[in-house]
Amino acid sequence: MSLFAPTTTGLATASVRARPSAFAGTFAALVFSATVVTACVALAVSAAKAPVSPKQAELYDVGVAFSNLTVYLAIFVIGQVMSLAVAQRGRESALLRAIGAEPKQIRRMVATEALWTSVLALPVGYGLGALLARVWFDGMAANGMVPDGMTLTVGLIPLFTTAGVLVVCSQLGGMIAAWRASRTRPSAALADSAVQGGGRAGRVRATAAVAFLVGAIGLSVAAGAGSVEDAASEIPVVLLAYLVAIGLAGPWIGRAATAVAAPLLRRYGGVAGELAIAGARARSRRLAAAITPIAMMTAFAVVQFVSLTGEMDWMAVFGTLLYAGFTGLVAANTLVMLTLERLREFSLLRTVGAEKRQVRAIVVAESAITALAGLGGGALAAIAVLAPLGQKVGTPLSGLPVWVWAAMLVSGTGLVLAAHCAPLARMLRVRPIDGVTRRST
Amino acid sequence: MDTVLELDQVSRSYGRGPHTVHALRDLDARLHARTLTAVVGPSGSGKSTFLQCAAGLDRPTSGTVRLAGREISAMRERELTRLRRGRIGFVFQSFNLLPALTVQENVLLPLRLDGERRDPARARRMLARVGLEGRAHARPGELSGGQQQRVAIARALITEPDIAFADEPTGSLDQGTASEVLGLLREAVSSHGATVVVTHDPTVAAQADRVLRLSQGRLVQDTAPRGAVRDAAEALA
Repeated sequence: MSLFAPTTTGLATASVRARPSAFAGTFAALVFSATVVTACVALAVSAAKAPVSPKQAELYDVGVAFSNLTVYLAIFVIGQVMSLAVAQRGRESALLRAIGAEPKQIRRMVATEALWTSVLALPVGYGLGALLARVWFDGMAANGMVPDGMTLTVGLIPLFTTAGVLVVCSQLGGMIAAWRASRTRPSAALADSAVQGGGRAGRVRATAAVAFLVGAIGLSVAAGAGSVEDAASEIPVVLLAYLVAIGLAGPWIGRAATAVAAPLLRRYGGVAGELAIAGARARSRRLAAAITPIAMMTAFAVVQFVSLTGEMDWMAVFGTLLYAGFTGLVAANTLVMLTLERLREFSLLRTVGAEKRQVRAIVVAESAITALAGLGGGALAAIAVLAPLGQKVGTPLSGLPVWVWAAMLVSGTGLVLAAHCAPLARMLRVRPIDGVTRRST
Repeated sequence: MDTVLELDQVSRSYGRGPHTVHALRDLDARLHARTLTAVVGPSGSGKSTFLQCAAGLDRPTSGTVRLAGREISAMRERELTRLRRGRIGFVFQSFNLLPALTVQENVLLPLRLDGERRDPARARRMLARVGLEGRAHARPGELSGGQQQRVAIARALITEPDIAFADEPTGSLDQGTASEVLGLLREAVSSHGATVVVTHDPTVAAQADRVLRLSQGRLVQDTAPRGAVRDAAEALA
């Protein structure tokens, strides 16, 4: 059957309408991914077309390395956001199941929606990517880094690469998430007493987490045994393997962070602290969805800053800004998605008598737990990669001054807090009684 | 009798111009302590708006609402929230409980939000009153619909409010469970202030001390079924 079967397209449209915030979050993540992939591939392609010279060869290598890494990151990010968006719509798909939709139809609905979102995100991301490539190129030109005879042409290759990454990743991510969604019993997901993202993390998830952890350790041992150049180019891959392990182990990392933060929050956080602890414990899957992008942002920031201690040329600084910007935006986007789904919960609290500032205090306390888990997990991943490999590639971990660590901690926590609380102003303007009865945002 | 709730010429309209919807029109009502009042009427008659204005969840377009002598229709949001927390209880048709909290934590929530210390003994006494001894540490997901409604009633009454509002509290329950829940709301009336139930269910209305019937935003009938039965019984004796 065609992917565009009228019923499926109809279901997908209805599903987008039911939870516009989940759609907007996916769209934003796809646009960010498309932007960085387009920019990096455009640069690599332009360098390839330039007359051969040592400078040209070096730039081409850098462009290819950037392109590879952004594609890997995009796969990771899109898979994450798709799985969150599908999980947030658990109620709607359970309702569809209850009225007779087959699991197959749910999966096709997700696939259709993912495809349309990619199609819409592609031109926006491509346009922004072309702009970013121009800024990058002009910056290099200003620093005399552009090889003779090289011009920037964005063209079709970045477009096709980006389209491929977007469509393939969103389809794969959607398929995995929809498979999980279509297995849950409709009755369980429909119950009003169900916790959003409270499903128990299973044995498959734990096994996969351990497998990726072992794989990451294996990769770093192999990189340690190889040449210096190979080690340098493998660092991001090893880091991603650790991050996938963190993503999978998210519910357990969240639980550990909650246990660590609990005594302090109980002591100084009052009722908001208590509610945050209870919420973090119950919603471990959602907490995992928040932890992963923050860990990604932190890990890449640490690795980039450490590499800057080796050589701080224009290219390295730009790379750091690119990755920090991209991963930071993705993390913020995820946190906004996670807050937006909780209108009913906040409204119920308010009808019971919670003041607006108390609701804010709960979200702030939760941000503390999320930041602890995400920043901690990310820093550990970066340390796990750089402790054995940093020395080898000439940028040991010890080269990073304490103030940089402190600055990352402060700005990371600030970002988590700001993004988590950003939608609150609007959500707290909704009358509590309307929020309790409204199903979604 | 003590007047707990006083609505004076309350109107509530939505929108402007030719599309204005008048949800309540010049409604006057006085509700007394230790009475169970049922608000009935067809869908769109203004029942929910009545409840929201009376409970300070919505502001009337004109007119005044007084709760225990204080005018709530002019209160600011923060003051209203504090009032809700201490003097008003709520029970909704569904989604009353925070799924992440245990039964006991849900029941104690209004007190905790008010800055009081955790008092498990008080929660246990309240849970015993609604017939849920021993379920203090269960989560809402482990309870039946009727049990969840009982927890909601326990939470509504734990602050010993002046008035408790219930919006279709039996709407999603079977008949047996519904009458148990209603029984609890009736019992509550004897110990605290007033209870107001918005309902479609004629059996609920039949158990009330007083029935306010709304139609197109106006109060069209004000009867006292239980009082009437009692009067008849006294006349016969």
